[in-house]
Amino acid sequence: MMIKWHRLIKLESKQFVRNRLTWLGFSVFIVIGLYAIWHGKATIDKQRQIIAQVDKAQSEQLETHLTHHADHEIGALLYYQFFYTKNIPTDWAGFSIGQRDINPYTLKVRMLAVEGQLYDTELTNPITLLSGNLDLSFVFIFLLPLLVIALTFNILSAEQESGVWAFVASQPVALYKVLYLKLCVKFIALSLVIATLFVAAVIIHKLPVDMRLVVVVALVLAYLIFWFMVVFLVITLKNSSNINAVTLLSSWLFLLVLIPSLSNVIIIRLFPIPEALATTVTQREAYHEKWDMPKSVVMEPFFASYPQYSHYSIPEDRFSYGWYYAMMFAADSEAARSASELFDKLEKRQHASQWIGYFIPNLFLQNTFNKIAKTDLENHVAYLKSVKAFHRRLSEFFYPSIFEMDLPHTINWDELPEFQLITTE
Amino acid sequence: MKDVVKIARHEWVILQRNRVAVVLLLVFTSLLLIAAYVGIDSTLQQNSFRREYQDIVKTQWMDQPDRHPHRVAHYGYLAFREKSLLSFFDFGIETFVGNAVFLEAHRQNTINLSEAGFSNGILRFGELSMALILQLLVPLFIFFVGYDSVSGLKQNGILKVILSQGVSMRTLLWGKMMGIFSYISLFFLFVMLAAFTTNAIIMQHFLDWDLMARIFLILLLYAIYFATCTWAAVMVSAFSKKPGNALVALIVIWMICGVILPKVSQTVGTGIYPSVSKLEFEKEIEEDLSKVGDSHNPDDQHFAAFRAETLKKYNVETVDELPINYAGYVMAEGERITSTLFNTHFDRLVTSYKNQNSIASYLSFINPYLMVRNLSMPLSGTDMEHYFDFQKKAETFRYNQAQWLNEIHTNEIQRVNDKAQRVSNSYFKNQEVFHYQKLKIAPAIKNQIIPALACLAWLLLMAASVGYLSKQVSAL
Repeated sequence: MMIKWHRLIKLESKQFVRNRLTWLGFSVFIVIGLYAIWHGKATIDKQRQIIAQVDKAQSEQLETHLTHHADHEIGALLYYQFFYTKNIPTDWAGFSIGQRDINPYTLKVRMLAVEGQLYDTELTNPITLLSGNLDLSFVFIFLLPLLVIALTFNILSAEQESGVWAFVASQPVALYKVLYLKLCVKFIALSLVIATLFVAAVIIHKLPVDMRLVVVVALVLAYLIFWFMVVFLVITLKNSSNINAVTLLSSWLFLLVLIPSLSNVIIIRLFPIPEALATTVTQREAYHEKWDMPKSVVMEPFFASYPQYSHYSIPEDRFSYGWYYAMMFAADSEAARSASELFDKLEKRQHASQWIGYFIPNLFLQNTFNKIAKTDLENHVAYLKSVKAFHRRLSEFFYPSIFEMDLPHTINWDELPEFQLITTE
Repeated sequence: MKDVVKIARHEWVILQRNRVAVVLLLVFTSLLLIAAYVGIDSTLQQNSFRREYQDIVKTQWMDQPDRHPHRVAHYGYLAFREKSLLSFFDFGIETFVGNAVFLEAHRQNTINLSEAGFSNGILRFGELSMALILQLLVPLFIFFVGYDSVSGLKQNGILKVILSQGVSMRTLLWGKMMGIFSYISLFFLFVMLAAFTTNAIIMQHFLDWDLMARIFLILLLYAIYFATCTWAAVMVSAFSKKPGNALVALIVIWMICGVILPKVSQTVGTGIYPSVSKLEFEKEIEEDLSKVGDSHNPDDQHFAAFRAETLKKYNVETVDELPINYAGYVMAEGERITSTLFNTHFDRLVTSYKNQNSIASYLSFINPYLMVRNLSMPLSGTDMEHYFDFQKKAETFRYNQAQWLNEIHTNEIQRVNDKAQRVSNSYFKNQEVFHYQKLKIAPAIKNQIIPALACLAWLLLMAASVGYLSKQVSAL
């Protein structure tokens, strides 16, 4: 018996290797895979290159402002000076670009109300964003199932249609074993292709060989098994090759296009974010109305939060920077409620799509890949929160000098707070 | 001709007997209806939010107290972008672009708060809209019902019988194409028309010629697109020995045209015509500004000359003697310089985007999916042209408002104790607030000549090729 199976495997592999269409499919898949690896790398390298310009831009600006405003109190300089932040991509970002091409990664803030500065967009071609990225995660999630379908949809039906199956059936072997064998050979071949692309990705993206790699590879293999199970289910219904192809493609369409695209419109519809508009409107009005209020009233919330400055007297009849930045603080405080509601909504959206992902394999993979690559909404929200925290630390760093009306050169610029990305993990 | 109609009619009978075709047709029709409902519903919801906040902003503007004009310049205005009447049909770039822009003096802010920025990764699988179904899924449907239209006849030997009865291959191909095309179009164009009509009733836009022209052209465009897909299906089927081969070939074509090429063409476009990042964009403007004249730099040459010129014009020695408020006057000059610079750089940026997208435009000649995508978006008012039109008009409003306030500053505010003064709020109340005039169809599609030509080319190719190709088809 052993010898017979051994020979069958050999025969099946030979048949498989000799098929010109198989080679065509494999080579096209590998070429697209390599392109995807390159595209991911190019996209993220471009982002790294822009991030690398940030420090220089920041220090040049500071230098210009230090000369222009040398004789004015620090408050004047702070009105003009931007402080940059960076959301540096991880090693995995090129594998799964996720939302990184949409969301800004070099946000800059002044000491003005932060709510008006968080949502500045990066300049990108909207058609490019709409078309999306062809990265390696896309190749595995979107195209791999199609290759599986193309290789397997007729393995039973073609032999039935050509009459070979009747002959095989007349032999003393279990038919399901032959079917398993056929699927196994294709599964191994596909696993080799996947392994090749992963090796290329590890080399080109310089991915560290760690737990993350193990998880990603395991998920792709599990996904491959899932699609083989779907195929197995469909071909054992013993329909014609053409019906098989249409059924399998329809399932692919259903899982990869219909369910996700329907989920998107439903999520956006169920969790609309008018809070984003509310925050913008509230923050603007809250700040500007303060100009027309008595200064003592304006200072109240600020002094309540920072009593250490309450002994400074604020002149009622003229402009002063202590008062000016206290207005900014007040504007942020008043917009705080809608701002936190906004973040709650974002969390709800994130939860909803994760929940759908538990039922749909491809969405689960995409969510997990983006999470590992830190290119998802969660990472962006963490970045926004970090920018807010950074803005607060900056403000608190400068408040003493603002109230003291220090000149810029008296400040120890080396002690300037540095931006840090705070993630929940 | 009579034979063509006969074959086409027979194709209807075949299609009605095809269980897969009937089930898929029902599925697709209900999907289209769902997409129409969701599209109209979320457009209404989004627009009602935007209108609500736009009204708040307008009321706040009207109710402002007496203020210093430069305060008002910084108070500025918030403009919210409304979705177009047909955005329910084709979302286009809607989700990926911002919806709110803060218009203030000195600064050209970006249009912020896009849905995409508030979404997670699943968004990139696409959004269910009527256009998505019609552009990507209906072709698959056509391929599913068309792949064995001729190759099936070859396989079971009926083709030889038909041809021997005096029906030419050419007639057969035309008949098959007509049959499938009319069957598909009748259903889907009707569903589209029904959705457009419902939308017009809900949005209360009846005798709007611009809207009607858009709808008419959209129907025409999709009819041509369905015809192209039918032509491809029947031709591939005619040239295939076995139906299976035809199906595989059609799926590969669909994959390349609908999924791979749109992404690759943007990457190629961005590679050939790089565009600047925001950081570089701002840096370039700043560098140019330091060359032309920076009003915030006390040693600036341009502004020194400008002051000398102003003094000469009023025939006085010092700024203090001027009959006008120099602070407002110089601010107007600064605004003029920065705005001109910004517009130059912004136009350059938009041009680089257009160049990047031109790859996809030219590919419309070989890829009907890109052809329909590139034309459907402008017709639905959800393309880049419409978006940048809003941005341009908002910027024009911002500039005019800032300059109008600078004028008040120059003429109505005394130079001495400048900051403590205010002007009556009646000035602001009588000022017209931002109201976006939607882009008309003619300017919207005038830049889509390449995809429009591609559309025409596809029509001609179909008409001209059937006769020639029919001679190449073997009956076996």
